[in-house]
Amino acid sequence: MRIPDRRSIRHMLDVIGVLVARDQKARYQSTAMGVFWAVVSPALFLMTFYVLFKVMLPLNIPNYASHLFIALILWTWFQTTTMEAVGTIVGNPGLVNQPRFPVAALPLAATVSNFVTLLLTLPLLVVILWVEDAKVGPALVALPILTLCQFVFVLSMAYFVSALNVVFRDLQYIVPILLQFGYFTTPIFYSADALPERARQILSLNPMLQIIEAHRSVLIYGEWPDWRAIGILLVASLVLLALTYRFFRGASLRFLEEI
Amino acid sequence: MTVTALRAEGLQKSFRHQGADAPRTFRRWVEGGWRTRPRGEMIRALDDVSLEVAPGQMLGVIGRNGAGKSTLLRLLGGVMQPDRGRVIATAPVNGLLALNTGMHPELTGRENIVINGVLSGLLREEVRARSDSIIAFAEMQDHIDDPVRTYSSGMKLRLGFSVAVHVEPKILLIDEVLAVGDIEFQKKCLRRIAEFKENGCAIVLISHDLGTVRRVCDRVLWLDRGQVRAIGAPESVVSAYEGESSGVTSMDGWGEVAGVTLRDPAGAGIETLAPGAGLTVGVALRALRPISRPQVGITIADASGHVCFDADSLADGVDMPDLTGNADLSVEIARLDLTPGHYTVSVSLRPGGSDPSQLSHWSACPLTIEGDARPNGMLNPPRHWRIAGG
Repeated sequence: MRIPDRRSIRHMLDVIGVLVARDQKARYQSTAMGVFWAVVSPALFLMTFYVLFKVMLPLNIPNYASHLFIALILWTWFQTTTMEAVGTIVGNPGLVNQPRFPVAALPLAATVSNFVTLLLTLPLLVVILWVEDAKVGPALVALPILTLCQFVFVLSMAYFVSALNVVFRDLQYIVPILLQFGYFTTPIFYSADALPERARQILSLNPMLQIIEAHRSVLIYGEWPDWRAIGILLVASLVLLALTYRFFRGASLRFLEEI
Repeated sequence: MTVTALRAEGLQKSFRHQGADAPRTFRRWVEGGWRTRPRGEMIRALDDVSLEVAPGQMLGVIGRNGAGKSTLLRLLGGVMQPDRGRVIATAPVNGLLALNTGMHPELTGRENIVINGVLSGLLREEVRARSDSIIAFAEMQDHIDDPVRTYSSGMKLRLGFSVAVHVEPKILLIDEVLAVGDIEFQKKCLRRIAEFKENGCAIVLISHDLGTVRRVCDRVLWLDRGQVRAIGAPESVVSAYEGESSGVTSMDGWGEVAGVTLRDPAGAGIETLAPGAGLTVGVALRALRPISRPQVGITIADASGHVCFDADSLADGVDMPDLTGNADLSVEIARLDLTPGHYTVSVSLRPGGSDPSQLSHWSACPLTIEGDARPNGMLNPPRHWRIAGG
């Protein structure tokens, strides 16, 4: 692999910049609600689950709104990125064909763009945490590390599905089903503590569970996350990223050959 | 040694033909019982293609659909890797391939200029610095802050082309996009490309528009089923290509060289000839309206386009009758002492007294002289070596 020079690094950053800006601008110009949509969508889910599991069928989880909202926005970042990434190679033949265009920027831009959407929901998160009297402490320092950890994981998944969709073109119909399955096997609206020991052990293999629980302990309880779990996850995600990136390179070169 | 901006050496690329039974979906793959993929047959898209383009030079690439032109461009652009051979570029390779890539209809023209420019290889600040010039070139000052969805297709193309020509490339690949917009805009684009050339940009142009290729290219490469059939001067290569493509274009409704056949002295049709053998060039002429005192020219050019032989009915003092319908003509060349190699025999027809560059029709066919090729020289006359003393 060639070592990129300064200009190509700057160019890569600019490419990601314009792709993210295009994505964000386009999304908020073509929906009537504008920027609010980023907030309204998780807020609606929050209300639905809150009414269901706090009022109608109480699960007795403390700070339920915070518990729920943290998981919702983190899961949304993962889910929307994965769904968008599936089609990035197959849906952009013009760009894949363009000399000097770094194809690796496409899944990366999807990851960054959906992270920007997450950032837009932060004010609402702060309000919810404040209303539920969350304990804010020095553990907040751990947040960037958790974000990095999730970023690497989400990006590696984005590379994986976009490359795999070149091989199997029906993946874009399979991924939403898998994500639906993931949604219910990740403790988003329920708590992993309520599960039997055996079930909890199995579900702990889910990286999103680790990420969500770590965020909850930092944001709601002001406690440090489980560093051992986060450390393992970060290393595993980096390895996964290296592997899926290689797979992606091969698939994007091969994509043009399948005419 | 000449300076080269872009060089390709022995490029070879094969694709696996995706048979109908190859699993393209996860479902088919599972249903197929998890077997390994059936091996499709390999198709050689490019075979030992070498080329060189000097700064300020434009190389045209012609050939039928499926001859490997797009594959060649992708290898040159670095978006695909060759199986064998290599591409050496002295500067970043830019593409003028698909216009408007990445543009979003909801955003304004100005915003889309930045998107398209960055996706074509520029830095954001470079696009900003050039945006006034881009807008002016596209003649879009009045609409630049409207969403692109409100543009006509012509306006979109102008905008896309304008961004593309502001990349200021050193090496540029162009694929069939010159046929955009109205005639005036096309001329403007060609002028812009001529400016690139003057500034030392090396250009590779793929086009089916043989007229443009003749006019603007310095050299032409003819790809045929993945192989270099001929490379050389535009006139001879394009004529040879036209001659082979059965759909010959008529001389503005005047007449045409309907066919060229090569025969040996015994009268048999040939494509290869022994060294020193005689050659008969048979020409079928067809007049679509009466042509008075027609002139017929025959040239033989080598693979790099050098004309080795040039004969003309007028210069040879042949009294040609007026042409009113079909006529057959044959020219017997007593012996053709050309060095072994690949040649193109081209035949032209034009009305008497006309300028051949203004009004003529060309047709051509390939000719191979048998034997071991020599690195230099054109002639291969019979000879005797004698040695005395020693």
